[in-house]
Amino acid sequence: MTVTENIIPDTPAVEEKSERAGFWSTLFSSRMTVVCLCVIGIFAAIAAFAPWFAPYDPLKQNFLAMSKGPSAAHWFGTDRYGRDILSRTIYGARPSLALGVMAPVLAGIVGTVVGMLAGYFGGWIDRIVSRLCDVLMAFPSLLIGIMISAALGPGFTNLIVAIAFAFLPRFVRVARASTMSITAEPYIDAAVASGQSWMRILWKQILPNISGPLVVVATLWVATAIRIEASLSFLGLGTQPPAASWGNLIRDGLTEMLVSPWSVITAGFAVTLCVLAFNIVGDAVRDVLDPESRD
Amino acid sequence: MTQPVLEVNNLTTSFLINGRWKTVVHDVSFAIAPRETLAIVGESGSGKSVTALSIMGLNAAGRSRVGGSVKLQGKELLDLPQEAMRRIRGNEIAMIFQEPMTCLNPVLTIGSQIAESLILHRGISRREAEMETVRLLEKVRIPSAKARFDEYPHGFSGGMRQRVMIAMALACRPKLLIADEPTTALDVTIQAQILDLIKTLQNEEGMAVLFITHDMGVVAEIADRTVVMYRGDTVETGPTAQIFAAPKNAYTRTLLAAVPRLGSLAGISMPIRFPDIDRETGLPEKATQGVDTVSRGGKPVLEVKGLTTRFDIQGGMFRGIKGRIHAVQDLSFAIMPGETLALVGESGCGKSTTGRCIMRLTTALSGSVELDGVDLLSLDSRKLREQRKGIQMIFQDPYASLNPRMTVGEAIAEPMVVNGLQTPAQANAKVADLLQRVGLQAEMAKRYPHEFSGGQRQRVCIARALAVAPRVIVADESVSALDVSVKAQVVNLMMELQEKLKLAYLFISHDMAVVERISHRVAVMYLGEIVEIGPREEIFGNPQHPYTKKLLAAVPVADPAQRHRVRAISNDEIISPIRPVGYTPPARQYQQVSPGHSFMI
Repeated sequence: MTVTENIIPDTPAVEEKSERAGFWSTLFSSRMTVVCLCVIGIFAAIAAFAPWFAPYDPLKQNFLAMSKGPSAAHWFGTDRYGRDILSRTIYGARPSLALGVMAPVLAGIVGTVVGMLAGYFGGWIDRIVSRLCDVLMAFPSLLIGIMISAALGPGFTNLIVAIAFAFLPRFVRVARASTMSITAEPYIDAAVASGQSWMRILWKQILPNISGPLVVVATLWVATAIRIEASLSFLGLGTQPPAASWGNLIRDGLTEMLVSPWSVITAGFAVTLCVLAFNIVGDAVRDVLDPESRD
Repeated sequence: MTQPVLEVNNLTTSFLINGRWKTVVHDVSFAIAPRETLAIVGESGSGKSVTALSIMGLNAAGRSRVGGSVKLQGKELLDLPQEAMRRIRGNEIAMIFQEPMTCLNPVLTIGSQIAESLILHRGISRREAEMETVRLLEKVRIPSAKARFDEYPHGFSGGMRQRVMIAMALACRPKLLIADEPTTALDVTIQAQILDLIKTLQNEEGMAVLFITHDMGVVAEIADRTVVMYRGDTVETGPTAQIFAAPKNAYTRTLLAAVPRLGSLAGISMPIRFPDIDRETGLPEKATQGVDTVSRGGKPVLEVKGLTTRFDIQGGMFRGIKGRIHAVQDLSFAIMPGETLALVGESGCGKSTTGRCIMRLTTALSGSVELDGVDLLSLDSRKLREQRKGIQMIFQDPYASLNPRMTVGEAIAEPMVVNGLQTPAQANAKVADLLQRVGLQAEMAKRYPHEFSGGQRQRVCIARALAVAPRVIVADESVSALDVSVKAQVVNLMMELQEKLKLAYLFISHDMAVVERISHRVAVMYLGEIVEIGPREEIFGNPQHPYTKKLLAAVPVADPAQRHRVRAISNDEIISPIRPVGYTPPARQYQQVSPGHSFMI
């Protein structure tokens, strides 16, 4: 054999695909994930264009058609005020989905900032943040949601704050742990040595490296946020009547569940389907972005 | 001729990578006689380790294919069922690996681990096994073997762990010992001990040894015959002396020419670049002349005075301070513009900590680090960022020191942008210029680090360090992780840049042969202190301190003729400078040998 090439016998070890293309193609490789993404897409479209999809005004009472079963005029029947259940379920998707996305996003932004600061600086900041997280983690998310909504009073904004607060420690922990491991990498030393400020290091060097696990946590908690919103509305702490939300619908229907169960069934089915779809997509995203964290 | 212990014929191994079979070892043949040592030498990716794993049948099942024939004393191994192969491993073929820590179970004592394998393989009683274990530990020259029987692996240093691994390998009196880079992770004095030990044990036990390494010095030291591999192919096979004296293949010549040889610059005071090697013939071209880059007479660009760093060791229930590691103790030296000072020593001697303290990545306890008269250690964080432009660092691991989420162009531009030297828009042109300066192409700026090889990445790191036009560069083991021919090229690049830009280097390294090439002056560190400092020619030619002498004697010499020289090497372990709280280090006296050359008494 003769050596004809450059004397550097020195080739990159692995050729990797473009990371972004790899993410989508892996995500779409499972049929179940694609189906669930479609379900989420349909829910989102329904929520966004609720006035087009809903056959009736969700608040309009019709005393001529109270507590009716399914019929050609009212596909899923009417409640005890004669409001169309299908229309109320369609409008109910709005607070559920908006909250389901906004609460994890808010928790994600605040939690990432706090967690990165704790992980990067360590010391007393880290100790205080970690202990506070331990305290918050000791309570179930729903309980914290109830406590905070009770303290702040009902209302959509308060509800987002309450659920975001309940989720906060999960994001803080993930951000803190990932930041700590990235901070130990020599390229962070290199960034410090080249004169970068800590803010720039957190923003440009560390954040892109820890965003994967954080996106995973966010997607996994969307489903829980939807569930908690439904629970809080059911308890009367969430969306206030007469506005429709899935939790409200179940609460309204509960009193006459034995006579006319359609309100409970329709809203319950919507919650279940939506939570299931988000959970499956969340799992799929985790498998692609952060396979090590799989249980 | 006696029957060979191991006979490998036309061994071909392929791996399934992304649905395609890729051949990584191609048609390799060799034989090893009893009491013989055969070395397989090659650079990373040459297939040398895969060859060893194929012999042992340890490649991932289903994802690899092994063809050809591997005969152990005439018995074909490749056709054996898993169960029979398992009995051969450990009993007839034993293997030792590069990283001895990961091969020992951390929660079991050393003694019980060896005894366990004896009971398993030889079927003897526990009492007998324990006695045999002590005998084996003594055989591998572990001091006070009986007392250390009940110790856990973490209490053993790297060299001692490798001895334990060898003891385990010897437990069943194997006919063949496969050693896969067993000394690569060890310090040079410890490496010399382990090599001596393997040679001695081979004589005592009559084993055949298959030794896998990338280090030509180690090959010259240990092997009777050598197989040179390159990208999965055997390029040359023959007696070691013949391969070193008259290499037939161009790649072998390239490899040999690139090996830094200790003492090759004896009698020359200037550093000289490695000779460029002709790619076709593998012969070195005419060596370049050394250029005097040091500007004497002026003020030093970097002056370190009385630098001291300690790390607390916490322990106990209330995390009280149990002791302190005196990592760096009262270190003083100065570097002139255009000068290279090498800081040499073995692991734990504090040389890397020194580099990190100078960069203020680690906080020093006391002392001063003056860059052109400005003390870096006393600056607040804003003023420090201002001064960082003057001093930059190149790290050891070119894989870990680049952010995987940033293109190399962004990585190089970043220091310029944060220091306000360039706007992001202007930086692009400068990045292209820097990439070309370190021997890469300007278009590579758009690529991510994983698309580069180790040597190329280190060039990127050098470009990043150069981006802010520093006067001093701290190079912490910057070429240690690179293959030998790449190493020579990166060292040459550093010297070329020094010539052009009048850079001063603090070159931190354990590799004496590279240090000899690059440095003007050398400081030898031991237990956190400088034990000898002086011009390179003096340190290598006329070492005074016993530790300097020991260090130089331990370096493997890439010359098979010197193979049987006897070294004065003890079984000492490298000790670490852990002291009790309140320990006051003694005041040190230095004796001057000649101008600029002094050593600790």
